[in-house]
Amino acid sequence: MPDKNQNSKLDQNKTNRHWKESNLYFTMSRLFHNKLAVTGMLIILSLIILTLLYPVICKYSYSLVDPFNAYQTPSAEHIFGTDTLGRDIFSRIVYGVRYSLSLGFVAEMLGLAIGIVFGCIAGYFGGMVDTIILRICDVIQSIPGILLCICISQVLGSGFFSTVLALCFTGIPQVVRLLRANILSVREQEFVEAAQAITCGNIRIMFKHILPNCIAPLIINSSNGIGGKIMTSASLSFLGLGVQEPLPEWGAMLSAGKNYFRYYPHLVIVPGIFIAITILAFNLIGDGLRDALDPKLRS
Amino acid sequence: MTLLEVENLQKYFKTPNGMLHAVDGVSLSIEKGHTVGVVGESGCGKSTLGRTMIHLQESTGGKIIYQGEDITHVSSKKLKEIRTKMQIIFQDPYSLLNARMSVKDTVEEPLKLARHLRGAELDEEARRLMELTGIDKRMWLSYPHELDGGRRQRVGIARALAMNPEFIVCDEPVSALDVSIQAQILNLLQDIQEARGLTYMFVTHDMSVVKHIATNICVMYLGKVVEFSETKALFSNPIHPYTKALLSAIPSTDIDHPTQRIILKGKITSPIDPAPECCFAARCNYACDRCRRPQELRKMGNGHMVACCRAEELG
Repeated sequence: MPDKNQNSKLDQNKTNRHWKESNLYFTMSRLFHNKLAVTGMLIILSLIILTLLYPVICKYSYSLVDPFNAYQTPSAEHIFGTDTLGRDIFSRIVYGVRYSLSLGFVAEMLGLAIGIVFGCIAGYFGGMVDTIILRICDVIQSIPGILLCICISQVLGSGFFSTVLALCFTGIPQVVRLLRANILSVREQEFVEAAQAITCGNIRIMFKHILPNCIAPLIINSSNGIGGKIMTSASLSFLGLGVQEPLPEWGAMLSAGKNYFRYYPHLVIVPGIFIAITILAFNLIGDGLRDALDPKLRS
Repeated sequence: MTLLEVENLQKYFKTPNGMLHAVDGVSLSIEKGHTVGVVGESGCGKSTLGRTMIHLQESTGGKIIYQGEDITHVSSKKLKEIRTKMQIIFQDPYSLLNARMSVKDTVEEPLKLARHLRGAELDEEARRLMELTGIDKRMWLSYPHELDGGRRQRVGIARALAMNPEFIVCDEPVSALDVSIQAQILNLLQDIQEARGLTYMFVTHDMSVVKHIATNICVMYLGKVVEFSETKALFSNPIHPYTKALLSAIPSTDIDHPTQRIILKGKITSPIDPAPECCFAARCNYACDRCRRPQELRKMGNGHMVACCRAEELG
């Protein structure tokens, strides 16, 4: 009775097998087998742990001013040296992780959420609605991103949330376009018609059949986008907008040190390296996700 | 008994240059348990006809009558009811399944949505369907990209059958498969037809496939039916000049009697706002002045119908 055996086995292991056969499981296992992506994730993870351990590992407060010890080069006492006001750069870097990461992450997620809503509307309904949404995207995209951010930061005032809004706003059109283009190609496929034929409603077709087949490029786009957002937020701080002193934002630290680069290069190099590493880490994760999410590569 | 009937069915698409007449006044009746083969060249409106008949696309004009009931314009509630009776099987095995749903999920979805099955009942019915369509047990939890074209087509068939339909539009279900798999799928479709008393509308451009599977054949040209007849009668005695040319294009395996190809000259008339004359007149070897008038489908006896003013001379 091999047949019956197989049947009962199938029932027994049903939940277990379902998980092991699921898309998420495969994506994850592929992602974790990708060395570069794992490296990226480890970098981000260690940055997060570092900033959470800030009270434990940092001897000096990030805002403790000590003019007598200004411009110190890296030493055992101050691992990364001190800045123009004698503040410990290591403490500032460690504390600054939370601003950079959360700015990038929150801005990207907010942009993604808004972009998905408008992308779905534009792609699924088409026609006049589609045209209007696309033209608005055109307008937003025709203004250089950093300039738009500067305008929005100016209008809303500087600070964490106005920076988030400025950053997310510039990212929305890209998400809308990407999603809309994907929806247009997916909704012509026969399985969408089949879904109609088996009495699926519009919402079910959208979220069960079309969106899951469009989501992969979006995830890749956003994980690369977080890196870009961190860079833009650093640029904004560099220009004196965005998160303000004395809060230690990496871009602002870079900006504060730029005049002393010749004599005290560590003022610029240390935050610069951290910005670069963080962006690199997000790009590595993005590339890993791209490979992992491609269902055709699944073996 | 007539299962499905269409009268003067029209489906026009708006294009920048005018109205494209994809289906232009088709009248057809399909008997219960029969298989009607719809043949014609690419772009002649075969697939659109099938999709319009089962309400996957709204018709522009005409009537659709299902078991004596006019279903041309229906409420969304009624539409759901119709959908359980009419299903479609698709052509492209690579796009007919949702890549993010496993075989089992795909087959179960219609059972849950339209037949409201749950729990053990759902499992039992899904299992029965997959066994019926010959999907191996080890494939049940697989995803579409792990299956070959034939197996995907089987899943598509299982999904259509899950609705428990009476009428299925087969939109070139085998044209993308290789020949040995084609035979398997055709046999499967015939077995299911016998077991469940299904009625098929078989859209294809492969004459040897319709010869094998169809009881009646409907030849389409530019959105119009030019000839409708029983399969045997059509193959032995084609009347319309287009059908003659179409049949002459089937390669012969008999080396001593090669088929005499009828080569059609001239371009296909544009389907955008066509003149109300015979749609085939521009390429027809027998065209005359009378062809400038609209052509009606006329009965020639034995259920043979032809839309040609010179049918009597040619037949």
